[in-house]
Amino acid sequence: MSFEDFPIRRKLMTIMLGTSGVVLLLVCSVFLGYEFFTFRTSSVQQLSTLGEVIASNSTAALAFDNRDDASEVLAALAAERHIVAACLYDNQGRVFARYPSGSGDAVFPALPGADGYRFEKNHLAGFAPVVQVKGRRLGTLYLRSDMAALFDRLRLYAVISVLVIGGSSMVAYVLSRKLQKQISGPILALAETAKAVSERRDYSVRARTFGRDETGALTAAFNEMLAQIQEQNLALQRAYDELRQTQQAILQQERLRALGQIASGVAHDINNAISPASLYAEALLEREPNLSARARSYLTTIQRAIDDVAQTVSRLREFYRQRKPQITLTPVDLNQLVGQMADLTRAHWADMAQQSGISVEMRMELLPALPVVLGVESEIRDALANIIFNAADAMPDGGTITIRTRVAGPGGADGRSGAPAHATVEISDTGIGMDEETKRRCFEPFFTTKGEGGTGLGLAMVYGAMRRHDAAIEIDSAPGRGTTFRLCFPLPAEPVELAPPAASGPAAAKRLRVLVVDDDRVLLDSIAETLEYDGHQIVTANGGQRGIDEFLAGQRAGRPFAVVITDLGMPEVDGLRVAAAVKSVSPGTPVFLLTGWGQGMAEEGRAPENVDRMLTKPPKLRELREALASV
Amino acid sequence: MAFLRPKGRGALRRLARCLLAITLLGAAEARAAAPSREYQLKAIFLFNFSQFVAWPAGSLGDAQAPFVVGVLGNDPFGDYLDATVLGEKIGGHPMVVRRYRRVEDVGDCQVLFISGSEEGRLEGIIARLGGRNILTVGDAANFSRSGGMVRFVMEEGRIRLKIDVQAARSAGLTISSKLLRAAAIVTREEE
Repeated sequence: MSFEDFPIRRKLMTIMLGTSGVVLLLVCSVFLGYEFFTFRTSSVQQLSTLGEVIASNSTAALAFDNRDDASEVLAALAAERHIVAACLYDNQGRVFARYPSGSGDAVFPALPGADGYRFEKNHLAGFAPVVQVKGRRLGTLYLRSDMAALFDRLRLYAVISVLVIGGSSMVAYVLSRKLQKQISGPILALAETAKAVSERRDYSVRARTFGRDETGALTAAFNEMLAQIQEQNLALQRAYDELRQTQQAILQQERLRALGQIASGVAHDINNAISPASLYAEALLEREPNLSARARSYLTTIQRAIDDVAQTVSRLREFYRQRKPQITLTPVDLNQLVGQMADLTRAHWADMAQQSGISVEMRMELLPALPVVLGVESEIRDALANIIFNAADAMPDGGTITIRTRVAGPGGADGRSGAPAHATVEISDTGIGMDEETKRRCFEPFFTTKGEGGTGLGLAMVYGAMRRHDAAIEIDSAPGRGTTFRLCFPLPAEPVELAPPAASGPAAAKRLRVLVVDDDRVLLDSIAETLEYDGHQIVTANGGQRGIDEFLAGQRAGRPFAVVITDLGMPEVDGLRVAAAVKSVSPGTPVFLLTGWGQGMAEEGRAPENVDRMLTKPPKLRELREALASV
Repeated sequence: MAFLRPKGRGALRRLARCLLAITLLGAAEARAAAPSREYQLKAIFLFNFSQFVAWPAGSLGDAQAPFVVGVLGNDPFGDYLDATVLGEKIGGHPMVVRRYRRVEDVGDCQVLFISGSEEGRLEGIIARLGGRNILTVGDAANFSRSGGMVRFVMEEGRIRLKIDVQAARSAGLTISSKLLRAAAIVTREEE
C-alpha cells in the first residue's frame, strides 16, 4: 500500500512521528558529531596538559640522572587509566624511564619525534619537551592514550540519543494520536457523510461542522451543496409530478375528444337515419285511430327504441363536451333514481347470477328525505347502471351489492368539516376488488378488465357524466376486499323542489307556409308529410343552395314563407348560411335549425346567429308543432 | 657532547660547538688526564644547579656580571667543566669557570665546588663563606656535617644528591622542590 492510500489518520500520525523523529535524529547526530570533534580536541588538550605536568615534574630527575625519581613521576600516570604507555627520553634520545615500568623497548618509538600530539590508528600519542629553564631542553616525554574515553563517551551519547529519541517518539505518538483527531476528525466525519449520501442517495443528511477553519468551510460548502441538491431534487420531483398529471389529464381529454369526434359523426348519421322512423311512428300513433292494438303496441315499442337510440347517441357525444353550461340541470331525487336503477338492472345481476348457481343480493340503505340535487337524470341513471353492472361482474362467486345514500360535508352525517355539503351515493360490492393499476386506469376509455366482454367505455362515461355534474368520484378498493364507488353530488346553494311533470299541450291549429331544407330526401319527406297533415303548406328543398333559391323565389313571387326549418350539417351550403341568407332578405322570418349536433347548443340555451330556435334530431312531432305554434 | 643548547642557536652552531667540545676534550686528554665519567657528570650537575636554584635578586650584580661556577682546591674536572659552561648564559649573565687556591681568593661566585683536597679545612672554609649567596657543593664524606649545602654521594654506581635545605636557606638561596624530589634532604646535625 503506498503512502497515498493510507487512511488519513495514519498519514497524519506518520507525518508527525516521521517529522519529530527526523528532527530528533538530526539534532542528536549534530550533537554527537560536535561532541566527537570537540572531544578529540579536548582529548589532545588534556593529554598535552598532562604531558606538561609530567614533563615539568621530570626535569630534576633528568637533570640529575635520577631514574628512580623519573619512574616514580611516570608511575603517577596510573591514575589516568587511558594512558597506556609513557616514557622519558634523555637529551641524547635514549629511553630514560618508562611506564608501565616493565615495558620493553618495542613499546616506545626508538627515537623521540617532533613535539605535539597526533591521532594514530587507535591511539592519541605524542611528544612533549622536558624543560626546566626556557631554552634548555633536558629531554623528551612520550605519552600514548587509548581512545576508549572517546568511545566510552560516544557510546554514552548514543545510548542517551536512543533513549531520547525513543522517549520523545512515545510522547510524540501519544500526543499525535490525540492531536491528529483535530484534523482527521472533521475530514472523516465529512467522508462518512459523503459516503452515506452516495450510498443511500439520501440528500437530507448533513455533515457535522467542527470549527471555522478550511475543513469547516469545506463542510459548510458540502452541506450547502447537499441542501441545493435536495431542493433541486424536490423541485424536479414536483415538476415531474405536475407534468405527469398534466400529461395524463391531457391524454385523457385527448382520448375523450377523439372518441367524441367519432361519436359525433356517428351520431349525426344515426340521428338522420332514425328521424323519419321517429316521425312516422309518432304520426301513425297519433293519426291512425284504426290501428290494431298490436300495431299500436309495436309502434310504441319502435318509438321507445328510437328514443333509446337517440339517448344513447347523445350520451356517446357527451364525451367531448366538457363545459358545464352545455347541460341543463334539473332537480333530481337521487333516492328515486337509485330505486329505479336497482329494479331496471335486476335482470342483469339477479337473473344472471341465478343461472350460474350463485347468489347476488342487493341491499339498500337510503337516507330518507335526501336533499334534491341538480343534474341530468338520464346521465345519472346511466352512471348508476354502469357501476351496478361492474359490481355484479366483480362477484363471480356471488355476494352483496350495497347502495347507500347520505349527506356529507358541513352539517352532514360524517361531519367532514371544510368540504362543501354534498349528497353521496355509495355502491359497494364484496367482489374481487381492484389493484392499484386498475384503480388508476379504470376511467380511461377502452380500458377494461372484462376482456372481449367489456367495451372499456362504461366507467369512462361515468367519469364524463360526473365531471359535468361537478360531482366527485371516490373509489375504495383493494384486491380481494371488494370495491366501493362513491359519487358525491354537490348540494345546491338553495334547496330546490322537484319540477312537476311537463305537460304537453295540444297543437294549435295554425296553418303556415313552411320551407324545410335538408340534404336527406327521406327525412325531408317525412317532415313534409307529417307537417302537411297538420294543415301546413310545406315546401321542401334538398340542399342548402336550393333552400335559399326556394326562399328567394317565394319572396319574389309574393308568397313568402312564414318559417324556415333547415338542417345544420349539409354539404357546401350549411344551415347557418341558409339562415343568414333568409335573414338578409327577411329579418322577420323565423329560422329553426334542425340538427343532430344541436342538442348541446340547445341545452346551452344559446342559438347561433340568425337562428331563432334549435330543434334536435330525431325531431319530435310534438316539438315541431310547439315550435310552429310559437310563430 | 652537544647536549647543551644555547638559546636561539641554530643546528649549525650546535654542530660547531660539538666539534669544539670534542677538540677540547681531545686536547685535554692530550694535555692532562681526562676526568672520569663520574666527574664529567658532576660537572654537568654543577651546571644544572643553576637551573634549579634561585639566587637573591641583585646578588649577581649588573647585567654584564658573569655567573661564576667556582672550583676551590684541586680541580678534578680538567677542561670538562669549562667545555660544559662554554657559551652558556644564566638570566643573561655569561657563565664562567673560576678556580681558587684558597678560600680567601673566592670573589663573586654563585656555585662553588669545594674539592676533596680541602676536606681537612672544610669547616673553616664554609664558616668563612657564611652569609654569602654561594651554593656550596662537595663530595667529601664530612661535607654536610661541616655545613656544606649539596653533597654528591655515590650509591650503587650512581651519583646521588644530599641537600641541606636549612644551610641553603641561610645563604639566601631557594632550592626548587623538583630538585629536592630528586635528592635526599639532610640536616647538619643528622650527619
